[in-house]
Amino acid sequence: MIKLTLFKALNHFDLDIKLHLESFSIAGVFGPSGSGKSTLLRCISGLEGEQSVYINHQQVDHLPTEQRGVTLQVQSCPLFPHLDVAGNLAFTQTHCTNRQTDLTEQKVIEALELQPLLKRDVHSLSGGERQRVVFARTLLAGKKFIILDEPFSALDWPLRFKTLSTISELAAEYNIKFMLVSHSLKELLFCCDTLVQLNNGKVINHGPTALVAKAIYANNKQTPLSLINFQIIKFDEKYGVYQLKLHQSEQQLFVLPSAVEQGSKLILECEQISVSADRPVSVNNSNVLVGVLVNAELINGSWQLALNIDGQTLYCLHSKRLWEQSSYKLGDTLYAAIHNLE
Amino acid sequence: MLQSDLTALWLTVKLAFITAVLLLILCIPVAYKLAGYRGRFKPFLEALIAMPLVLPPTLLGFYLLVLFSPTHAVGQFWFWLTGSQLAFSFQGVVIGSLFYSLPFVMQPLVAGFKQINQTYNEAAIALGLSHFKRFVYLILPLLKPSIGSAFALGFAHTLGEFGLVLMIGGNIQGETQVVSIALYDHVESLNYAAAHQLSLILLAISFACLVLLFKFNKSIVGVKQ
Repeated sequence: MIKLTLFKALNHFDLDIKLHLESFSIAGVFGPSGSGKSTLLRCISGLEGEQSVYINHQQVDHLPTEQRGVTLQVQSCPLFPHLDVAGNLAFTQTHCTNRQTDLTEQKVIEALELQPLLKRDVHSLSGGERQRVVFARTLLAGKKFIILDEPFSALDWPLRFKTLSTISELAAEYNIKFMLVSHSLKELLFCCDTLVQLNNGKVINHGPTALVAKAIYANNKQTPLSLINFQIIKFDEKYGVYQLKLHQSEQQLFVLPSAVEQGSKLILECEQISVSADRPVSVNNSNVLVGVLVNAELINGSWQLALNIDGQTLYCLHSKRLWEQSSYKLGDTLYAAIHNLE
Repeated sequence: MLQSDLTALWLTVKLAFITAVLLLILCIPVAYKLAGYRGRFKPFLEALIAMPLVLPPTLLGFYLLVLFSPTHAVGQFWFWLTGSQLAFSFQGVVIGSLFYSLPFVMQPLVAGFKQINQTYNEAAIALGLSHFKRFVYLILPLLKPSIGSAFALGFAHTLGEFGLVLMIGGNIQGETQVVSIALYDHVESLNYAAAHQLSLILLAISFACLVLLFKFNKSIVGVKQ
C-alpha cells in the first residue's frame, strides 16, 4: 500500500501528486521524459523533500531512507568503483541492515545469470551488464518495496523481457512489491499489474494496467500494443518453433523460441496485425486468431480496432479508406493475421 | 657515518611519520566537513589552513615558543599534565610540525572528498545505508588514493623542516636535532664530507616519497587500469 500527497515546485511545472494505491504487486509509472517521474520516486524514498508519504499504512515523512523499508535504484545508478562485481553484490548484503527477505546472493546470481561477471572489474562491464549487476545489488539490500528508475534501458528487448519476467517471479516468490518507472509502455505492459500515468507533474490515470493502457491509447499518440498470455503446448523440433495455446482459449499460434524465452506473454505491435472478415487463405498467414470486434475509434487519423480474442484484447489499426470500404460493425467476427512470429 | 647523524636521521623519520599519521587522523573528519561546507566563512577557513604555506616557519615557531613557555597558560597546562615542558622537547616539535605541514595534508583530502562523485553517495543512500556506514565503507575506500597522497606530502614536507624546529626545539641531540639542523651544523663546522653524506640520504628519502606520491596520484578512482 502506498499513499502520497506531494507538492514540489520544479523548473517548468509543479509536481502535484495525490496517489493512493491500495494493493499492487508491480506498479508501473509511465510518462514522457521530464514529467516528474524521477522526482516522485526520490520523494517516496526520502532522497528529496519532506512530503506526506505513507508506505504500508505507516507514515514515513520524517524518516531517513534507511528506515523507510524501501530501496530506490536511481536512474543510471553507478556501481561502486573500488569493488569488483562480486564485491558490489556483497556490499549491500553486508552493510544493509533490517533485511526483510531471505533472498540470498546465490539465488540472485542464478536468477539474473551473473555468474560469468562476478570476477569482472566494474569498469569493464557493458551498459546492459552494469544494469543487471546494479539490479542484483538493489535486490540484495533485502527490502520488500523496491523502486526502480529506468532500470533496464540499456538491455536489448529479449533480455529486457526476460529480466522483467524474473521480476514477476521474484515478486510472487518473495512477496516483494516493485515500482517500476519507464518511458516505454511496452516494458510496463509486460510486467505491471498497476499503472500510473504522469504528465507535467500530475497523475492523469491510475489503476489496473489494461484500463490505464486503454486510456493512454485513447488520448496519446502512442500506438496500442497487444498483450497476449499463452501456454506452451510443445516444441516442434522439425521446424524449430513453439506451438502455443492462448490463455483460456483453444486458439493456437506458432512462434520462434526467442518469443517464448522472454516469458509467458507476447507483446504484439499494431503493425504486426492485419484484420479481415474472411479467414485468410495465403500460406503466409499460418498465425490467425478469431475474435469479435468490440471497439473502433478514430484516433489521430486512423481507426483503432479492438478485438476480443477469447477474453484477451488485440489492437490493430485501419486506415480511413480501408475502414470505410470494409463496413465492419461492432460484434462482427473478424480474423486477425499475425505476422513476424515464426 | 657519525652516530649523531644516524640519531638525527631516525629522529627525522620518526617525527615525519608521527606528524603525518596524526594529521591524517585530525584532518579526515575536518576535510569531510569542509568539502561539503558552503557557508560564508569558507574563504576564512581555507585561508587559515593555507597560512603555513606562506608564513616563514620562524614566525610560526616564534608564536609557538611563546605559547609553550612556562609563563603562558598553554605551557603551564602541559607542564601540569605531563611534568615536562613543551619548548625544546620532541613533543613540542611534533606539535609545531602539525601546524607546519597542515595544508599539505588537508588540501589533498579536501580535494579528494570533493572529487568523489556524488552519485556514488546517492546510490548508497538510496540503497538504505546510514551516514556512518556510507562514510566508513564507501567514502573512505574511495578516498584511499587521496589519503595516500596526503600522507606522502605530509611526511615529505616534515622531513625538510628547519626553521620551526630550530625555533621551538633548539638543537638537542636525540631530542630535537633533525637532519636539516645536523646538516647546518656540519656546514658551519666545515665538515663537508658528513654534510654530503647526510644530504644525499635525505635527498634519496624525499625523492622516494615523491615517487610514491605520484604513483598514488595516478590511480585515482575511476581511471583504474
